[in-house]
Amino acid sequence: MATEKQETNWDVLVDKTKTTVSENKVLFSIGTVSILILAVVLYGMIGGDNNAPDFTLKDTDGTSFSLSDYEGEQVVILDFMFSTCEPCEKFVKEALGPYSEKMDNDDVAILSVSVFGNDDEAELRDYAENHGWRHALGDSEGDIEIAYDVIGTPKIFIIDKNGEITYPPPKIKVSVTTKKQEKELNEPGKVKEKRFSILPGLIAISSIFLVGAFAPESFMNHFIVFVLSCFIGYMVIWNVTASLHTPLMSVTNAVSSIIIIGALSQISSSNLFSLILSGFAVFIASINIVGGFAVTKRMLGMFKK
Amino acid sequence: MNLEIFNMEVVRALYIVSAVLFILTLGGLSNQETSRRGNQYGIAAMIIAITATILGPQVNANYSVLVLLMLLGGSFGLILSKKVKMTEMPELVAILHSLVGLAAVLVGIVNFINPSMIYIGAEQTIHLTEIYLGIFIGMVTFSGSIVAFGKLSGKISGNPLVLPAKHSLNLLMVIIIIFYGYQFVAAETMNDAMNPLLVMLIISFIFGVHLVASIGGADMPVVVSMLNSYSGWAASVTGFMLNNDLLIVVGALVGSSGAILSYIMCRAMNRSFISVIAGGFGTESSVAVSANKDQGKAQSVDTEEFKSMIMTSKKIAIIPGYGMAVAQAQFVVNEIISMLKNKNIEVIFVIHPVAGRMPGHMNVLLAEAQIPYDIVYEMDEVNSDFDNIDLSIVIGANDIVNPSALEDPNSPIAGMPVIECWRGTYTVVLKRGMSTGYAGVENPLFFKSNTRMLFGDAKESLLKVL
Repeated sequence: MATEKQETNWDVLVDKTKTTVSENKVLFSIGTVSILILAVVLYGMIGGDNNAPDFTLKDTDGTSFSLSDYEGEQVVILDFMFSTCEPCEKFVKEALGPYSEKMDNDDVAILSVSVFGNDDEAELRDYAENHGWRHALGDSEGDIEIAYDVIGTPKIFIIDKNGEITYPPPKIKVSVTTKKQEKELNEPGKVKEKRFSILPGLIAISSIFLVGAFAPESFMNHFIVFVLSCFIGYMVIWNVTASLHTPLMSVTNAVSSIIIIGALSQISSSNLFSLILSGFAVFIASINIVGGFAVTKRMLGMFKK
Repeated sequence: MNLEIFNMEVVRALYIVSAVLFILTLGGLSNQETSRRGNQYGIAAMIIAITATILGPQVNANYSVLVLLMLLGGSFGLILSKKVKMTEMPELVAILHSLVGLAAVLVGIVNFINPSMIYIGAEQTIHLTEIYLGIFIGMVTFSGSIVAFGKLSGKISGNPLVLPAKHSLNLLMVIIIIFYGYQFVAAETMNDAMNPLLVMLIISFIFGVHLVASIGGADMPVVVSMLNSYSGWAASVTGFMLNNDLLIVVGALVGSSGAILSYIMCRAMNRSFISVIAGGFGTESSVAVSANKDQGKAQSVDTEEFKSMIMTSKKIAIIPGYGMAVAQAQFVVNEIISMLKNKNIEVIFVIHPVAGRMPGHMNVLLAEAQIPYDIVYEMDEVNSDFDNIDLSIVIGANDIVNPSALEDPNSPIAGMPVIECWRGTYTVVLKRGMSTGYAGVENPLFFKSNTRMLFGDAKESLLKVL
């Protein structure tokens, strides 16, 4: 034991002098990437809000306006269309038009946005003349379509006075993936991108920089192990079926008693106080290990087809 | 044991094997078929890790004490696991969490007073911070779990403790802990560091007690998962402290597991984690209930009518709540199912994530009653299918089938995902009286035109159907 101690001390001292910049750089970049991904995943987990993405467009009168102008004033029925789209025409004749005649204009506004770059301003003006509401040309870059996830027309959104989309209704985020959803997720191209905000990324970068700047190499080594393990945990646990969450808790309980090896490494101490404390820790951790695994076994044995 | 071959490198290699097996343990729980093998992986991993440590260079004396203590603890754990009732699982899990927390505290203290390595400079600062943090998390887990145990077992009132200025109190305690943390790390000698450590032990104990005591009974599933997570983080920090990657890996796995479970539970109740921690149901929500309007009249049925409703249905969904387990009605339900199976009537179970008192609790209770797991579905798997269901039977559940969560934006449970049984042809609710559930909210389901109430003890009503 005595020689072991000295050796380790040497290692520390030698490490202190030999640590080169390049080694640090590699660790630093791996750590940064890991933390960044972690931040993105966590942010994704917490989820975005249901605010309608804002935009600024020109209407057929040439007036420039923003969606946020309506906020606090009117509920907006946002209609994505283009003039030669037959279903859009039908939708206007049978739904929007009759509604617009009946509606109370102070409270509700209809706004049609021509998308996919199919109309020019003159065309749209002709088309809009028959209707009593505002028409605007969508942007040529298609940013609005992407922001609203419009993949076909006609497509309407209802945006309340707080600027939140109330129709289509917000998807309730479910706690378990059903078989149907699994299928959807597995279909290529169906995975929806989460909104990304720069702030968590900045915080992650600055905090990882702080860690990298002050922490010694040995800590960084463990830190990488820690971050990657959190990832594995995240991936693995989402795969656990909801019906086995109670066994999951009891087994993780047993598993976390791995802390017993911390107590074991101290039990050979000649100091009586240390011996008593670590002995007691070994005792209670053993209760946990056997109790946790045994009760998990008992529970899993009950699940029968 | 000073076997030449078991040097530290061999021990570490075995730790890698152990870590991989631990990951496979959790992976095995992805479905029922592989779950038992998963548990065996876990046992193997634990045996490998412990054996490697004992045979390795770190343990070289006191073997008899060691073996004795492990056998003693092990048999104690075995008895505990055999005796516990399935309804008491949350209590068992809570008390086991407290043991992990306590072990983390003890290991931290021992490592501080009897260091196995001398560190210098920044390493020393980090090491002391790890010790301090490890003991802190361990202590909060320990005291919090004890209170959670008391609440779950009914030894402490389930009502949230509302102290005046409780948020400021929590903040004050955190500030004190941080301040003494600084004192602890900056201390020149071990004796100087002892006082800050003791103060922190006491404050973090109170902090843990207060944290859980101020959370209401309905939020206990979140609390149990949260403490599960804490016990993992405690193990992970201990791993940093001891330079032991196995502890770090396993602690991180458990920590993220608990965090995900807390998240799932919060989602199922449509509550944010922060608001759960800050205080429970029944404190502010009771005010909103006063806005009750006259709902009309509930229609009741007797057991004879109930029986004929069952017999004329083709597909039945049973929606259990914790009330079913309290009445021990799940065994009768199982007999009814086998009877109906013979008559070619299809029966499924629909489980809400918070139907039990901890994540997945209801599934275990049904499994205990030998109800086959392939007819037990999650809420989301069935909610869109209620058109095809002729009869939903709600047993001992209330809030999880409350339509006002979807229909009334002012309801205290608005936005909470619920089982939409009213979309089916008929719903029969087995209930003692017209009382409200945990959230204290009136349930409009009882007054719907296709709902019938069957008043009385659930178990007795069901026995009459047999």
